[in-house]
Parts: sequence; C-alpha cells; structure tokens
Amino acid sequence: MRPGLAVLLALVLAGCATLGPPPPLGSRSVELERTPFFPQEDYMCGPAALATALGASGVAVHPDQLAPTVYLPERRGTLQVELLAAARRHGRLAVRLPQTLQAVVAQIEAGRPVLVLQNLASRLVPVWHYAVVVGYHPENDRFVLRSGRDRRRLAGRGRFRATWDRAGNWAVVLVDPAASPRELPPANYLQAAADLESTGAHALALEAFRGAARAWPEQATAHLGEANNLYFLGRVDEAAAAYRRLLGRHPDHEVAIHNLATLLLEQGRNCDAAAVVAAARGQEGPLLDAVRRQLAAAPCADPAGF
Amino acid sequence: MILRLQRSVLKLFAVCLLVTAPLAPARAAIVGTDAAIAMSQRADTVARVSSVLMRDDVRHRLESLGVDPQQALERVSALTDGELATMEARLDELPAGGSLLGVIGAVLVVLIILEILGVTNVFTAI
Repeated sequence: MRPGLAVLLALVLAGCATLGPPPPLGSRSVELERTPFFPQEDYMCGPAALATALGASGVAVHPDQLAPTVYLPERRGTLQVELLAAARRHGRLAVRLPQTLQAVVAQIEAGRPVLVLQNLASRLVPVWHYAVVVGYHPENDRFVLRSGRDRRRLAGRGRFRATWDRAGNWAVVLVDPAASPRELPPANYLQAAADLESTGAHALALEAFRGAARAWPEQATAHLGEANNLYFLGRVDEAAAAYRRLLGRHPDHEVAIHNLATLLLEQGRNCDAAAVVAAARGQEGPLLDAVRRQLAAAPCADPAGF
Repeated sequence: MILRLQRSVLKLFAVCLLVTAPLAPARAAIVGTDAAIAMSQRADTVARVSSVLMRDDVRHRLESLGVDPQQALERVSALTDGELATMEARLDELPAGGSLLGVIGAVLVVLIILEILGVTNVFTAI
C-alpha cells in the first residue's frame, strides 16, 4: 500500500503521466544569444517582452515607447490581443504557434525567439507573465527565457510546461513579412498575413503573401492574398492577373471567381466578368450567386465580347 | 439668415458623411483574405456590420482602464474584427500579463510557502 501510494504521489508531484523521463524535445542545444534584453520595470513585462521579440525580428524599439500602446493601467498588465496588434503596427506578422512545446522548440531552432504567456501561480490565483523563450538545451531539458529582470532565466521543462499550460499554451513569433516563412506552419502564417491585411497594412500583407506563395505554392490562400492586396493597393491589372493565375491552378476557387468578376465589373468590363463566371458553369455557392446577380444587373453590352 | 441656414445644412451634411463613412466598405465588394479563410474553415461569419459599434465600445472601455483617449483610438483601430469581438465579449476576464512584482508578490510568496510545505509534509509522511 505504502510503496504504491508513494509511486502515485511521486507521479502526481512530478506532473507526468508516464514512467521515466520524457525524450528531449530537440536534438541539439540552441540558444539565441543575440536576442536583446530589457530588464522589466513594475508590471511592464508586456512591453519588455514585446520589445525583446520585436528587436529579434529587426525592429529596434524600447519598452518605454511600447507601453502607451499596450499597457492597461487599471489592469496593471497587457492583453494578448494588444501585443499582437502592436507587433502589427510595427510592421511584423504575429504568428500564433500550435500549442505544443515541440512547436516552440522548432522555432528556436529556426532562429526565432518565442513570445509566451505564463501563469506563474495557479488557476485560482493567476499571476500572468510574458516572457521570451530564447533557448532550449536537450541535455538537461531546460528552457532559457528572457524574463522579468533575468537575462537568462533557466526553467526545467516540467516547470515551464506547467506555467505555460495554465496560460492556455499561448506562443507567438514575430516575423518580418520580407523574410522567408520557412519552418512556420502555413495556416498560422497565412492567418497572420490576413490579419495584417484586415488592419489596412496592404503593402506588408502583399509581401507576406508573396513569400508564402513562394514557400508553399500549393496554398491557394497565399495566391488569393497576393491578388487581394494588389487589388487593395489599387494595382488592379496585376490583381486581375494574379486571380487568373490562381484560377489556372484552382479553377473552382469561389472567392477568386467572385473577386475577379467583381474587379472586372468595377472596370466596366462586363463581358470579361461574364466570361469568368461562365467558366464556373454548374458550380453553386453564395458568392457565385451574389456575383451572378451583379452580372444580371450589368449585362454584357458588347456582342463581340463573346 | 440664409448664410446660417447654409451653414447648418453643411453641418448636417458633414455629420451624415462622418456617420456613414465608416459603415461603407473601404472598397467595393471583394472578399478579403481573412473572410476567405473564415469561410473555408466554416467558422461563423460574425456580422461585420457591428464592428463599428464594437470599436466604439472597446475604445471607451480602454479609456476607462486608464488609456489616453487618443491612444485608445489608435489601439482599437489596430485590432482585427476577431480580436475586437474577443475584447468586447471578455475584456474583464482576459489575462493581463503583468509581473511578479508588487501586490501580487505577497500572494505568490504565500503560494510558494504552501507549495513547499505541502511537498515536505508529503515526503515526511511516506
């Protein structure tokens, strides 16, 4: 009874479900030593961690400059969404990572420090804290963080995982849209680029989508994003060409058909728009229905168009 | 008199412009990439019409949390519709990353002591 209880307690205390140490997360020791460090002032871990991650992505900015854009005085802290928004305002993609430690280590190995939220206390009495993971050493299973006033805070995997789990496994990397998106999960990268687009940063979003299209040519969203942002930048002829390239690869891409037809209608090229939609004969969908209604109201006037 | 009337008409016109401008889509009806991703994930397409009202609401709440009004305006305009919806629905519950320092420090010290005591108690009991 007693040894059994002891084993059970040991397992519970160690916080792991299996016997024996888990295999290391990475194969080699990596520490991004050139990542900047800003010792945190009271409650200012948000601005400090953001300045650290921005600095690593090539944006030199001091936490004091960031505080007015992310800090909430009455909450004595910084919200996650506002950190993401501030990163975008500095021209960076804020890419959410999959919620696994492997994903975090993969980014460290790719040379990108990872911004994380931790809950240092408990679920009942949370103490939220931002830090930046800059290293992982498989030989002793430890993470290295820029955290608070510590340039190199060492955290064993168990401890770090516990604090990170309690904060919802939130991890973000900040990426220069002009840099290659290698080693990033495509869906997450494309969402980050779409976020840039929807906050009006079309030139940066265009760059990001073009990088994504080069890295993952099979991703239709990357090509759509390229075309959409060309359109938003007023480069409509290039946009039309980009939609047509996308339709060459994915002839039944409903959004591309819709957007290209809309663009052509705006240019008064009703016959060309009709031709684009006619190519999707037999295909159904809410956007196609919408654009067919638009076409009905703007008939092709030039018989030579057909 | 006529001048005054003209002025008030102009004012009315300006107000109408201000009120309707944010409601009109920036460009025609092309579908943005964010919406396209949402469609492909079959996520429910949040009524985007309400985003103007949400932005206003969140801006006021940021101000009430001590943010400078001009900053609040800029901060809100940097949010995507999805982030805005999150802020509006759960602003008070969202974690605000602060630090170990200050008031919370005392709570943490107690927690750490409890943790240490708990562990030592358990081990001596075995």
